[in-house]
Amino acid sequence: MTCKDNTGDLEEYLDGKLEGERYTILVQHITTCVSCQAELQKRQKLRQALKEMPVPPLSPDFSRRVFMAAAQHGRKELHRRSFYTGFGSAIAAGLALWMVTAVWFQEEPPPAQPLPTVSIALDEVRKVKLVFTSARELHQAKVSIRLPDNVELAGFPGQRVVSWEADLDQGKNLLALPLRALQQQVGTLEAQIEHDGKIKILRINLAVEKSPITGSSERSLPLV
Amino acid sequence: MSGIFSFPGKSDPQRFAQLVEPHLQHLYRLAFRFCGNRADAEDLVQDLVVKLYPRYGELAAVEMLRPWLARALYYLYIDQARRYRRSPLEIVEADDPQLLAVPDPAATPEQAQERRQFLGRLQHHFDRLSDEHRTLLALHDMEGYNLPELAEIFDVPVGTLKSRLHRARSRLRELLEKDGTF
Repeated sequence: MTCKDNTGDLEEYLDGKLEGERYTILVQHITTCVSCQAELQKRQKLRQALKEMPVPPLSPDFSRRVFMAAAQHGRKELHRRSFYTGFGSAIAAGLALWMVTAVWFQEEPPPAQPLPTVSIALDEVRKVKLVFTSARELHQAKVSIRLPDNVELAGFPGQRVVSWEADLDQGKNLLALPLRALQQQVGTLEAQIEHDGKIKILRINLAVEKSPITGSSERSLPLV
Repeated sequence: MSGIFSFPGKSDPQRFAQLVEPHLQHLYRLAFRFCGNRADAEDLVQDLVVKLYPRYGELAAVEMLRPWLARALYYLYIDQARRYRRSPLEIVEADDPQLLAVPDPAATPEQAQERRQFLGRLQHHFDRLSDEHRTLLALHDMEGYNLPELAEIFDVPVGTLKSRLHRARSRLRELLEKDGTF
């Protein structure tokens, strides 16, 4: 047996799956081969380290929150199927989930409809999630985000407009915006989608508050 | 068995929670391995639970729920990861494994520091593996799934999985060796 032949057997040995003659041959080889002993130790060390990689604890109220969100979404879905006809928004405590249905081919919502508002604590970075629902696949749609003065996109300091091209799937498409709160005021974020000569502008209010937002551990409502 | 294919009724939030809650911690661990940070891991698990809520009847009929849920989580993760990659705006900071590591009471301060640094480098390179390699190592080497279970989850033969696992470990080692960590 050569050291090169061992690779697979070493892995099976570490899995505790190596049996019979192959086991005997490998064990005999290892006892006399310093190089294979070192290799085995390295593999053991890596596996052990992977097992020990820490996982932070779940947020204390996660279980309650997640089942509440599931039940809420279940009720909303039922309501939506029965009464929902066009355009709407849904916001969970803390993070926004903004849903727009059939965005390109519906009329604008009535002007009187209040904009959804998301609160962000000053200097906090918060992910605001927007969900765009498209009636069909859209290739190379131009997405532009216009930011109010009171926030900036994390990673894009000082940039008020960020644009790029994206393909949208039929159905729901998620856009997560990590926003950093800069000034204590309310501003309006605009997300513009442009495709095939049609433009849709969507707006959401961002209220920056001085104190930490209570219930900040709340996460978004479901995306589907 | 009656009610397996029924739509959720009034008592179903409780039934659903009873069914899924015992697996929540495990799902979160897996999600953390996939995502690399707590916020996204919690989001991923929540998205899954919300998706599954209307499918209570189907869930109740599953014999081995743990691998079934792991499979559902994996595919949701892959689906979301694909969407996120299309957006240039997704910026997530990983939790620092050096701060999360549980100290070994028998270790000297130097050994403890060395271990924390090693785990930090390991997490750094682990996060840079491909989705396929990362999820495979997470499930097998970290969370103890065996190959037949993984064959069910990924829907590929055991032999193929063995090769992929081998490649995943080799890649990780290569990255660790390159920066002198290993």
